[in-house]
Amino acid sequence: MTENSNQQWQHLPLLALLFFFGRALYQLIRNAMNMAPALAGALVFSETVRAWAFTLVPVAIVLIVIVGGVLHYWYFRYCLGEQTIYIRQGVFNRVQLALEYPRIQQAEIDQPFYFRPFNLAILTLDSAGSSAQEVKLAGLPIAKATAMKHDMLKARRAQQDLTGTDAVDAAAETAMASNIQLQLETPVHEVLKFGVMDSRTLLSIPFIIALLFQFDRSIGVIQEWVITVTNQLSSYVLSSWLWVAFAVAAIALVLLGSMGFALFRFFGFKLTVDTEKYQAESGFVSKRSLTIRQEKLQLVRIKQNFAARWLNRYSILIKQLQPRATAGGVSSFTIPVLTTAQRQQLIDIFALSTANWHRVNPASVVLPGLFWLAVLLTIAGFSVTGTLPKAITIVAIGIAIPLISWRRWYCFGLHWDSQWLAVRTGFIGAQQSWYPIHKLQKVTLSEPPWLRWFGMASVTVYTAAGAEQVSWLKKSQAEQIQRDIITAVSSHRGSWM
Amino acid sequence: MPDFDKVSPKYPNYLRSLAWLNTLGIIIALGVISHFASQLSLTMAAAIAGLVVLITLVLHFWWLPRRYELTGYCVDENQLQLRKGALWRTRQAAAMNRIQHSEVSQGPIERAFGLSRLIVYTAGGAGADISIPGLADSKAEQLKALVLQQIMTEQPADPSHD
Repeated sequence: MTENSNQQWQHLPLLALLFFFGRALYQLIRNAMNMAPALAGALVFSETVRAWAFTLVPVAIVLIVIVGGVLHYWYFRYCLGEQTIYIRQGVFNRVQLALEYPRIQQAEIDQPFYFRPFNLAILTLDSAGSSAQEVKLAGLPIAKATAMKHDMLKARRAQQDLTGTDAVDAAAETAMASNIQLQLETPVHEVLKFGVMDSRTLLSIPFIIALLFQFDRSIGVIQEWVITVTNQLSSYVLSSWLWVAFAVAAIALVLLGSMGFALFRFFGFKLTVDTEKYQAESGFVSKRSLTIRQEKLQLVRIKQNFAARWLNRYSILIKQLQPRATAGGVSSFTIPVLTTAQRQQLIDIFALSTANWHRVNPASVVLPGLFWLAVLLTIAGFSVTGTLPKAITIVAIGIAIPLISWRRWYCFGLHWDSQWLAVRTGFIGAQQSWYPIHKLQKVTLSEPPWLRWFGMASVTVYTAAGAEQVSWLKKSQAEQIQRDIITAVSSHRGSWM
Repeated sequence: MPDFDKVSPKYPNYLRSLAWLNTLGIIIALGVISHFASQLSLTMAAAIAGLVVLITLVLHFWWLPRRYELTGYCVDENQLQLRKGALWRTRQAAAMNRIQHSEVSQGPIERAFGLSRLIVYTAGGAGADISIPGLADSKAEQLKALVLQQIMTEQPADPSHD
């Protein structure tokens, strides 16, 4: 860094703390949602955790938000050079970056509600370079933010040798408008559906029901009170009804919470696809936007779990090459709710091939199936009392495990051609992961002893978006896949980073 | 299937030394534990040490020769392949135009045997690198130069393809 030797590192105005508190709370909620099933499990199984949930946890949340917000505010500094803005941020993971004005693709000014009374704004800078950097400068006086944006656009204009800001914006907008392939906006009632479709919510429900069993005593107290009031119904009937009412209320509460989170994250969701990039923006309190350029696309994942299947909707996750850990370090976005027609539109835009799904050897489910049979039958043998209940449980497990195993094998599929490699998994719902073939970095063919015994092998493909393994393929087929992929990748001459 | 070149004949000796050094380390650790902790008697420690020596003998006479026989590499203008594993066999392949960079690495025991490993990095994250072990120092450098040459002669990316 040379320029900032003459410049001063600056803090953001003190009121920017509001932004950092909000972001700390958002990160906390986001992390808690990711761990929702585990947290629900801990609530069910641990008396201590339940006690903490109403005492220590609220205090901890307030502390984390305040301390996290203040620390992030304190460590965030910026320095304006003539052609570059330098940013230092992060508490544990310190990041220092330099955005050159001519490379800034987008400079946006937002005024969230909590900054409006003070005439402050957030300046969001996005440089869609090799690492998709985005920086938010929060709490700037609106005049200063506008002046900074103006300077940046001026630098870009000078670079592009064009005249007038209006001309730049108009030209850019015209170019964008003429290249737009798809514009998709998700209305609020559709966003709410994502609250129902969210897998974390569905996984939490069994734990919530289990949690209710823990509250038998509290139900008993209410039941006694109701009996004294009504003095009519038998205690058994009342107990059952109260339990059902509690379960329904708890599930409704979880669904409402999940819908609230969906609104918080996906309110005003808008997807714009042009010939060069995919751009998504959404958010209730503050808008979050991410642009993925086509050449950076690493993975398209089409998802439909059983709730989504019931609602006849889909979600699509789009992942790009992992950018450096900048503000948020985001590398993917989810299109939360899609109808069948919208899904097909996107499939056409991505140019996904018509899949020719190959199944793997049925033996692939035998070993895991036998393992689960052994585990569950042993647990049932020890925990279920009475001859008849034990027999019924054993028969149920004996039927369910083979059926589930068969269904999982039936839903699994592998497709590859000269453009894409795709893997399909599922049970009631389905998930398809599509990898552009020329983005594959390495292909490994493995033969553990048990696969070699059957003349089988597994194939693992490595991409910048993660690895995917497919086991129990015929060895000759696995060799063919490895050969085809390497041939397709090595003959590809386009850019891929 | 491509023709695989074998690694250096010194590679099995290097693996044997590594196996016996590990065994020695375990025996010393067992001795120290049994001396200081009453829960592990000397007889028990000797029995475990005997088992470890037995396993090392199996590795020495059965696993290591097979490992050497099956370890091989293949470099051509399009790809780099590595085959390895005696029990758990793998064949790793990366296209030349996806290789980011390469390096030659050498540990102290490898240095004693005049061996090096060539590590080739791709952009595929954890597990996406290829490490060719047991190469003679000069061969490792030669292969590195070859890989570099292949990367350099790759045609420049044509954005119109995307």
